[in-house]
Amino acid sequence: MRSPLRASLRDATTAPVPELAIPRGRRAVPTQTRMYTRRIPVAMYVAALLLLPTLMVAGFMSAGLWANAETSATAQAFTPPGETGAGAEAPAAPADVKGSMTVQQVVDAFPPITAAQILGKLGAQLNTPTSSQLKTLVEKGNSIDIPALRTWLQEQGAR
Amino acid sequence: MTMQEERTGSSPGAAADVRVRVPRRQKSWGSKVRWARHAVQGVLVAVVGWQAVGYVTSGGESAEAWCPLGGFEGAWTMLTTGRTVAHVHTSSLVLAGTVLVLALVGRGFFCGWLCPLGTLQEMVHKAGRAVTNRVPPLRRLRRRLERGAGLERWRRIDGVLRCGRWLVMAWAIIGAAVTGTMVFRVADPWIALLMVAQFEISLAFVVLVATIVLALFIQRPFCRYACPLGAVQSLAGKLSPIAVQRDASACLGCDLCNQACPMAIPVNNRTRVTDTSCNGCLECLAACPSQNGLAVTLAIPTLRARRSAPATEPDLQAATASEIMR
Repeated sequence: MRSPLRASLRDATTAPVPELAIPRGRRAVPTQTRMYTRRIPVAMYVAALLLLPTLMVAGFMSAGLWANAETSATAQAFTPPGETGAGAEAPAAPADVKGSMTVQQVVDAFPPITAAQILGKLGAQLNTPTSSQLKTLVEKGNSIDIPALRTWLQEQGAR
Repeated sequence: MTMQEERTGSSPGAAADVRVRVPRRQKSWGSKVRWARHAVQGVLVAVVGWQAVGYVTSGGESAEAWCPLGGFEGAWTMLTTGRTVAHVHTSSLVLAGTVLVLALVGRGFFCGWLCPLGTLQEMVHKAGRAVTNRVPPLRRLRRRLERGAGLERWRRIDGVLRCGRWLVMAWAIIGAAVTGTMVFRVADPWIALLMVAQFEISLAFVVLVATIVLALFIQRPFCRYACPLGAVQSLAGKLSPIAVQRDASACLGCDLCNQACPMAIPVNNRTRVTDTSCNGCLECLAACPSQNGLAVTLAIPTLRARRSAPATEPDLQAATASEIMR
């Protein structure tokens, strides 16, 4: 849909005038920029932009900085030792508990607390294996999340 | 390439007596660009879908970890404490960095070519068009909405709603930095889509349903009004030297680029499409019938003003005529 401004302009310019007249208050702006512009072939542009993320992800993967599951080694160079996923050292404090840790790891780290308590808190069935990861239980249980579990663990430790 | 004599008088604002020879693109060129994009989108949807199904069925790798937004949300916590936020994996951080680099080069290329949620919205919109074309009342409703979209009032509403992206971005990133949790996760349609097999009614699920319903009538509604990842890319994309550029002397003023743009950017009013909402899908390029009307260009600032391409005298007249509206 054309705006009224455009319509009036079109009417003005379609009139049979010998020369192009620019209406008052308007200015002609040809394709002229303070830029040196160079065309890029579309195929090359697309190929380069598809290759860029592929290479970056492949590079990070090969450098061991890619982890998208708890089961992967979570070789997170950024994370301090003891905070990695399954099979890692037990958390030293409730604040160190992560979703990638198992119920057993938390039970081992905080002795008075039992697996049944944690499973109950997470809304999981009591016969759930203690090798289950907290994150999985949080997502399935729809009860509390990891920060809430940390808070609960802190409260239990304070008693 | 075929040379055809065009009467630029048909374009808005062009003089009726100016005739310009405009080289035309072959029609198959646009189809190739579209097919390439759809093929890439298809591959990405397949990969992420495979991850999501694998996660639901066997508890394997989380497809949630393929979302770059988590990286942006967890970046502050990572930098300040060295810990990752819950639900954020290092893959999210890697993807966030990749998307940032991609935006610095290709603006919203990720949104237009790679984002599976954007692909879903496009698919729904196309399905919606196919359905509404066959059901007269729905067809009338859609046409009424499309006509309304051109009205000034609706443009203003659209403009105001587009600010939502910035608000959601601030909420998601600042909220995550302050609380140390992914606050946007509760309303993230991407999460709801990944968890759809669990049939859990949540705010995220409501947002997903609303997105799908709106996508029947509006192209990419979540991208336009609420996507925080798109907003982050828009900011980074402002630094990109590459953009779609329009050569006014070769523009036919046919409006096909405007109609093709899923983000409703008035491409034929722009010299360079540097809008923050541009998702780099290149649909405008694919729709342009002129060989030189639109092109992807690398622009480097210079001190002196210069023309982007040589033009003949009639070209200059036509350019002046079609550019007056700016």
